[in-house]
Amino acid sequence: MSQGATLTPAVRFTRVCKRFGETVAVDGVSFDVAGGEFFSILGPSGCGKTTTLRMLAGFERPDAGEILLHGERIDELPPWERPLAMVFQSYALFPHLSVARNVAFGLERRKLPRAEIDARVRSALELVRLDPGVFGRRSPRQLSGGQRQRVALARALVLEPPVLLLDEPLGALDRKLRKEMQAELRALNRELGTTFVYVTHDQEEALAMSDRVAVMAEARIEQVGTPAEVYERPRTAFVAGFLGDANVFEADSGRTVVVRPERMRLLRPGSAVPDGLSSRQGEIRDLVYLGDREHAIVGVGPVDFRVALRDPDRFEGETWRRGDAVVVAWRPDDAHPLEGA
Amino acid sequence: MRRPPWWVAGLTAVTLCLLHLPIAVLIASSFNRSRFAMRWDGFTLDWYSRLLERGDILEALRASLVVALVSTLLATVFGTLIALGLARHAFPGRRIYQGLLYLPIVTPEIVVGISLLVLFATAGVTLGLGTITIAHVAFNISFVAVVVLARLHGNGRDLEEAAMDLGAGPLTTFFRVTLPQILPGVIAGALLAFTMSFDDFVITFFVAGVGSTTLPLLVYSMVRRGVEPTINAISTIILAVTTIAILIAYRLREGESS
Amino acid sequence: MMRRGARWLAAHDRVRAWGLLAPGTLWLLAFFVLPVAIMGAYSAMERGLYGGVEPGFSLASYARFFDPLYLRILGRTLWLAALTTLLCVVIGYPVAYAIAGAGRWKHALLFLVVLPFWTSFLVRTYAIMFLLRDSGLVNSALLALGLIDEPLTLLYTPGAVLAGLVYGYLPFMVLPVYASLEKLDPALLEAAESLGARPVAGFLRVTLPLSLPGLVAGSLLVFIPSLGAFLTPDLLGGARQVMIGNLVQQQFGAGRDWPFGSAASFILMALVLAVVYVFLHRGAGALPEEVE
Repeated sequence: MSQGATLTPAVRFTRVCKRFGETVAVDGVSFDVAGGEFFSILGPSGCGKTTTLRMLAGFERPDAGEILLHGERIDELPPWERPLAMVFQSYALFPHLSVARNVAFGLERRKLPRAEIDARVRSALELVRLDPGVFGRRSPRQLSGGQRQRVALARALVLEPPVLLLDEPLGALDRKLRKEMQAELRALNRELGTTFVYVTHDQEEALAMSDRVAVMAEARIEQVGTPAEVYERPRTAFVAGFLGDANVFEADSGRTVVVRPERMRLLRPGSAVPDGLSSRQGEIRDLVYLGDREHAIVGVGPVDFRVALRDPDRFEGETWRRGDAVVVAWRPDDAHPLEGA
Repeated sequence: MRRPPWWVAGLTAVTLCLLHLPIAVLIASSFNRSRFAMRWDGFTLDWYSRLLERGDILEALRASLVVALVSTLLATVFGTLIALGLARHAFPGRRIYQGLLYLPIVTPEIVVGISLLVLFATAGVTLGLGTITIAHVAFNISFVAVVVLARLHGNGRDLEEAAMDLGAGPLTTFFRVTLPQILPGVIAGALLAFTMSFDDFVITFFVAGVGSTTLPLLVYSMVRRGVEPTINAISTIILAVTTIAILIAYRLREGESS
Repeated sequence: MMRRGARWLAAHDRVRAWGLLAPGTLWLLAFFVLPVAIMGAYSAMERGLYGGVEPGFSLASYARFFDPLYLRILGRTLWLAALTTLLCVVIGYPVAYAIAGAGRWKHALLFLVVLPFWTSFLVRTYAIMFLLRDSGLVNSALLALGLIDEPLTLLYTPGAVLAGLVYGYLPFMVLPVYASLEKLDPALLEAAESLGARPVAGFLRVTLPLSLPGLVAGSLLVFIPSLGAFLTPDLLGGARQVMIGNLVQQQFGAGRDWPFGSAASFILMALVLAVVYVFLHRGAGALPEEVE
């Protein structure tokens, strides 16, 4: 988001803290979300990401710090006065209201004329690809998980909020449906220009959907960046490990570095190591089949390296077996030094 | 659910106090030296010691305990068997039977009492502790069955089927597997039946004969004659007995849920 | 032999079921169904000269119930029962709401509500009497505060009966309402708020409709025993606040009109069953299902 620097950010957190009794849930968190951006907060359960989102929605009050929406402080406002809408993890559809009345709920609170409400409900349902004629009068109980998800989305989007909050909305769906919804959410974000703040613990989901990702651990933000940045150049060992398989080890320079498995390759001992590559000698301890790729676990002294085996290796007729003596090689600029290690 | 607004919490506190005020006043008065006035004249156990001098009160207490124990035993056995039959077996009309089981619970007590009086009068049965016990069993069976049934629905038949597979006969299975599982429910049902029998006034009122006075009947006749401090003392004793039974039942249920 | 018997039993589920049901069922047939049937028969007979009944068929007892004197009693019964239910809703709902939101205190608070209700109904009714009598706490307090010069007549009034009924049956309202509020997902209220609903709108549009099943059940549990009340009007209402229950009792006591007493009992029972039916069928239909 290149223009993000010059425009007022849609959301700004400045040193926000929240504690529950003795536990610190959110500890001095600061970040900006640009208008129209798809921003994810990623972290393991209990890292404070949901509390962060709930403070933005207004369900929790920060103990310290500021929360700004389009440059205006909102942390003192009750939830019903914040121009945000939220999609809940459990969907939180009103079980006593039909699908159409669920979607109309927010518009009815704004006392809009009936005809306008009806029209907007219809188009919101169409937006999430539910036929208003078929689903409008159904009870949420009669819907599948994916359909409920769409109703929850329509109920939030119908208010045309500048910022949409999503709390692990795809957690309850099966893998195939989740992929489908990921693509649709991404498309909605682009089409509507709405800012999305998305909380998830699924790193693949965060990487696939987001413009930028904030990785949280133990109440703090570890790193904020584009998916490529946080994946390729993790700043801490935690970020490196949480976002995927990582080889963290002490480089020849004496610094702790991280190299992703797919940035490493295997060579036969004795074959020439290409110019400029770093290398270590080791032995294949195990081969792990992962469907779309295969990992070799290479013992290098006391540490294990994970190396992705690529198809070219096969085309070249290379077959790796357990016990093979190998050389692990990587480009030095793929080895990123970690902070504080 | 979220925290209530302060005024709802305040209203609730007032209601809870009012709920306990009449009983608290009653208990306090049973220890008050003053005979009539709402004035604290000092602590006394006089009203309790007077109870001991009255043979009719001890006799009524004995009658109440005998009726409550015998009717609880019978109602618990019958009610538990009904619950087992309903929970563990499929037969035509089971749902209807289960619905009808609530009929004695919703029927006004006065109707139950009067109809039993009519039955005993028609059959020429002499009213006494026997007829009271019969009546108490009749109104308690459904309560026990409903309480035990709730417990039985909580756990499946897996253990019983496993026991049968291991070669245990129906009786062994019942005593070694089923009964221990449902025992908390059975005891809770029995305690409920005991307090209902021990407390019952309306039904007992109609099926009791001359010389078969239970404690509630005695209290009623004393109340009809006018307020006097010994009634406060008896009431306090009744409250103590039922409260202890309830506390035990609560403990059992808590042990069950944890 | 034992083994074969066991197998036979296992194969005959129906036989085993009825075997288990038999003792209790027979008891209920003999001491619940049969008595009610006999009473039904008596209600259609004629009154004996010295109590009891004369054989013969007559609906005179039912016809007699339509005398304005008895209709007034019926009306008072319905009115008091309805008012009791309404008061229990108004008093009980906030209590249930507060307890459902009381976090770790809720079990203790619920116990406080249930405790007096488990103890003897007679003792509790007497406790109200003790409080409302001329020299009771209420009058003593009002006199001491100088609000009145001489004791008010509180006992043997409709208000006293109402107080006794509400006091007796309030927990029946609190428990089911509490149960339905306690089940309510807090995220629903948050969803309503994030959609722009202020607390009042959130309560009226989400909390209240979703606790309606509890309110319906609680109303049923309060209304039914109030209809059949006997002890409360007897002790707190005196001779002038007669309800159907007292009318029935009089016919089997001093009145010695068994057919009329039986007919009144049957009318009371029909009323109760009608209420149960309406609540269970219509009541469930009236639940907020704006869905096909």
